[in-house]
Amino acid sequence: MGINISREELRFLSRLANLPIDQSRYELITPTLNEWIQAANELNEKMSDSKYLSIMPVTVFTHPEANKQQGE
Amino acid sequence: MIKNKNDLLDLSLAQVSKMIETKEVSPVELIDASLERIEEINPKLSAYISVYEREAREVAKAAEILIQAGHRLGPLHGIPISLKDNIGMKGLTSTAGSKVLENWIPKEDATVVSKLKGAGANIIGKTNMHEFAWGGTSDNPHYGTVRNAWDTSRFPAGSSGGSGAAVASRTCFGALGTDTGGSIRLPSAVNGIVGIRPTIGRVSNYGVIPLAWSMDTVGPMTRTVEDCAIMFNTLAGHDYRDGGSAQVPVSDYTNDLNKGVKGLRIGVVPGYFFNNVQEPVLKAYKSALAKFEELGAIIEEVDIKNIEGNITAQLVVESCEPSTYHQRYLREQPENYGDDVRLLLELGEMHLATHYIQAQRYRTLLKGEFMEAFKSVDVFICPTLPFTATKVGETVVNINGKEEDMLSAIMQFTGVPSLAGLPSLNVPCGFDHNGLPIGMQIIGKPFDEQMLFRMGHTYQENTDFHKKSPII
Repeated sequence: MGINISREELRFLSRLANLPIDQSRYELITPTLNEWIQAANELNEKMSDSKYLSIMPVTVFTHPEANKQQGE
Repeated sequence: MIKNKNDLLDLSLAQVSKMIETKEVSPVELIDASLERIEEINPKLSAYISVYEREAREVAKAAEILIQAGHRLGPLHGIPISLKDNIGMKGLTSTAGSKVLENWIPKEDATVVSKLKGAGANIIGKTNMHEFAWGGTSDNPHYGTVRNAWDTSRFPAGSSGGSGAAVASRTCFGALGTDTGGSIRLPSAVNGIVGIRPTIGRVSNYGVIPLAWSMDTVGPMTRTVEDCAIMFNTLAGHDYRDGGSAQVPVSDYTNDLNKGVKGLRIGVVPGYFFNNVQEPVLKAYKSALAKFEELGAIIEEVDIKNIEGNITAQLVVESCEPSTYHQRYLREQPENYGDDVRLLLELGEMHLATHYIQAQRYRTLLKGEFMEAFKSVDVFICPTLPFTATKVGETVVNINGKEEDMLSAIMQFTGVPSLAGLPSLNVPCGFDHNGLPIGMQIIGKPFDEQMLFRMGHTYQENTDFHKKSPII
């Protein structure tokens, strides 16, 4: 189902982000935002499949030096 | 035989470096030639934001004195090099192509700048770029639209478009760019030069204005693969000041240049590497694969099951992280951003945390599939971008009769190693019917830049695309 963000929804999103966005920018922002959010939701759906549950984000915190000292 | 200054500038970095060593050319002659060329070219290309004429002449004189005293600092001694303007250099403005930072003067050098200075390089100026590196056209509203060296009506890609145009137009022998989603490889491809995105952590990002922390890299752009390897020798290595820097030993990246490609296995992803590509680009790519086969390499089809979907992940990560870095500036001075970058930064604030984290999980998935594939191949090769340089100002691109959004189309191939954290090298591999350069991207295992240089150099030893010069 396609995303179609309304003026009121954009106002709400910008309030959540504490980012003042002039309503005159609605026409500029929403076409791309609709596409991006839809694509991101599709990626969410793909990555929430149970076969990927064990996958961690690429940005995990590691201590490579400590690991090396422990012979890992 | 060197007849004039332009002949001198047409030499490779490796060639001119030897001539400095043997005192056939002095660093002063070289800087004179470079500065003269910049004066002639820059009004046409807008490749530079700043040119350090006085400083570069002083450094050249000092380099000359050292050479006369028998003290050569290395292969970059006295060589004119330029820096993308998001790389900090002590005491000199670093704007990152923005109005927001138009007066920012770093108090210290970025690590890569310290390394270049220590190796004797002569930094002649800062190159123009897409504002804050957030975009692929280098159409900069504050410092001028950068033009392609091969056709000034066309774009140089980006975001390191100024570095690409500066190297291709022979104003310097090498430049530094930064690459998050393709910003070194894309301008290298459309300007007909070589450029490497290193493995994440291989080259320090300290002192470089970030775009997206988890994907940012710094790398050299040159006219030949050999030159690129020479510069990489100076740049690679651990830096305690960069939290993302890897403690992995470095090599002499010129060591394997002449080992050839016989028996090496090249992976190609059926479908993805061949679809949605302009005909001349596809033809040049296939010819390059055939050349590698002729030289003894083996082409193998390898499926990367989840390669589709990479552009979404790229857009999510590359929009959320810049919007985080720019959070304060965007609220305090939104009017100081160019229209396109302001829009992208606003969009990046609208993603949910789950979008960002799922994109980062996708990166683990993609990297895992590549690491599995590297058990059966040494490298992957694909086109660097699916089209040749478009006209300046275009926001859509026509690929085989289908109009596509520029930002998504331009990242079709470069986004893949960016997300997976893999090194990748652009090497020129042809020209289209308009005489516009085409590049291929060689993707390697983590920290195996040496293999990329080996493959790229072998290809250049057997082709002459890199020897052609643009007429500006």
